[in-house]
Amino acid sequence: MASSSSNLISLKTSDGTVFKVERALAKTMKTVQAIIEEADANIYMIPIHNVFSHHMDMIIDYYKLSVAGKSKEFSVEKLDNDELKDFLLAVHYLNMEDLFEVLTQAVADRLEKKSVGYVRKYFGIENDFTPEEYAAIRKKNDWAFKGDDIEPEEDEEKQEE
Amino acid sequence: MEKSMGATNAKVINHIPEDLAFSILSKLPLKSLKRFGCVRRSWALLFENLHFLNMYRNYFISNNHSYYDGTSILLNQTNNPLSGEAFHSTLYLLSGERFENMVKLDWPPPFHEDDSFIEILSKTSVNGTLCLAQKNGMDLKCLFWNPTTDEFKIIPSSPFLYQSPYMEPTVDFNGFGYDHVRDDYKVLRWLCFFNITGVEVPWEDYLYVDPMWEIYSLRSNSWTKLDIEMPASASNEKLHVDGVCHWWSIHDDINCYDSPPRLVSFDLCNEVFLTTHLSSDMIDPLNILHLTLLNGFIAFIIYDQTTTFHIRILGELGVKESWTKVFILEPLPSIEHPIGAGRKGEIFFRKDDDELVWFDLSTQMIEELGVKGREHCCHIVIYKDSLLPIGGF
Repeated sequence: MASSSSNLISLKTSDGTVFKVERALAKTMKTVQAIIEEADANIYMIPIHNVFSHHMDMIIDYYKLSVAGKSKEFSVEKLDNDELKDFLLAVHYLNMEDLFEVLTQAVADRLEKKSVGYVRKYFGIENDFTPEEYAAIRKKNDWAFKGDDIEPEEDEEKQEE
Repeated sequence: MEKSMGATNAKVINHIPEDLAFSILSKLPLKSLKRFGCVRRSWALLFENLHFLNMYRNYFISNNHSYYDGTSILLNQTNNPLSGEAFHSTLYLLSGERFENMVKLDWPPPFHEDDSFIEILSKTSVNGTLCLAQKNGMDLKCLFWNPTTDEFKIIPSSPFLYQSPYMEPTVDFNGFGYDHVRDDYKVLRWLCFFNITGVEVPWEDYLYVDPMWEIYSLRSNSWTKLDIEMPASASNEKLHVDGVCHWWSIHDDINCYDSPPRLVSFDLCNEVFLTTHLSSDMIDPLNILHLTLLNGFIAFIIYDQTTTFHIRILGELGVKESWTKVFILEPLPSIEHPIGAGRKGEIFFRKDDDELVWFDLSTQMIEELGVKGREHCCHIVIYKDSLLPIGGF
């Protein structure tokens, strides 16, 4: 099948793999679009930092499903929480609107019942409360820590019911 | 669930930029957000951060709660077109992006002669069936009706209404809903008894009848007395969501004295109730409260004397600290009170000139519906149609 090379954009991932993708898919990546538009001459290969080949595989899967009207079938179930975070960061870097909404929702669903300690680690955040401030806000929102399905805090002793 | 990818990628704890963090947080339920307020200082003040609040509001409005799948909006409007003349309740089916299509639906035959002040209980439908009620002096009508099939079923009278020839009942239709455990439709009612004025009660016939709750079950086709001490309703706002009837009250459990306002939630399956007090900053004698379901969440629209409407969404039933202020509606000129909410952040109001209007939370625009309604007599109902026979059994 003869396909004009100008319909394909070459993207090089962080791990050195080159993906030739349709222009329409590249258009969903606002970061890539900006690079293409800024270049004076036709760009030969666009490096995409922070994006690995396994991310591109999933992005292409999502694209194929959405073109077929089946974007609801796209699933990230097989990814663990950290892999999901890496994927979200890649999609965030590429600035892809629809997939971004899907992934932020997926992360939110994973974090819903997690502990404060887990969330701090996950987001790479330091606790900037003084011990007194933390105690106060912990007490104020005590109801939000209750529930059998809520992950208990590591540093808090399990209460005897 | 934790799998490691292959040896090729070293696991790096990437720091997530705040903007991205907010995108994730804005999709979390209120309970999680309040817990994560303990993560860091800036997250303790999420709902005071305009940037976050906008994201949260946008997601809240655009997120289609499954409660609304396949539903339409009904407007039950009561008015007397000619001042001094009789009141009529009219039922409209609203459709179109801006509710530009209003189709009048005819009430079922029992209401053909008298269509004044017809109530649609709990502003809800169960398998396409509505529960209608009308109180006309001593005449009480209560029936199930499916507007799509036109089938209706009259609910029999309760044996508890006239326990004494000298006492008259005041009936408050409290709720209608579905008991999924028994696959049954239930109607909840509060009865209060008063001496019939002007009638002397002979001492030997004196019988004080306590106020009581009663519940009707379609399966047994009968009313049963409920042995429960539960606060009665203080307003017309009664809701049903997932087998639980909600209303709000200013009475305590035995209906004495004026108490601080509280949400009362009655589970139709196990017939127990839970109260949720309002947080102290929601209570003010000058505030006007309106209980509603907003995009699937229990909420109070609070109108204070500065003519600003605040919307408080309930984070968790039973938890008074979980009422979260999410929306603020800037002073809306001549708006008097809400009459209900739609499916995507539309709030319906009545203006002081009786015009009914709707307010779009995302665009902040107000539009007239083209009908007028009497104060506190108009309601929005979320209706899901069905061709099933009433009760489906």
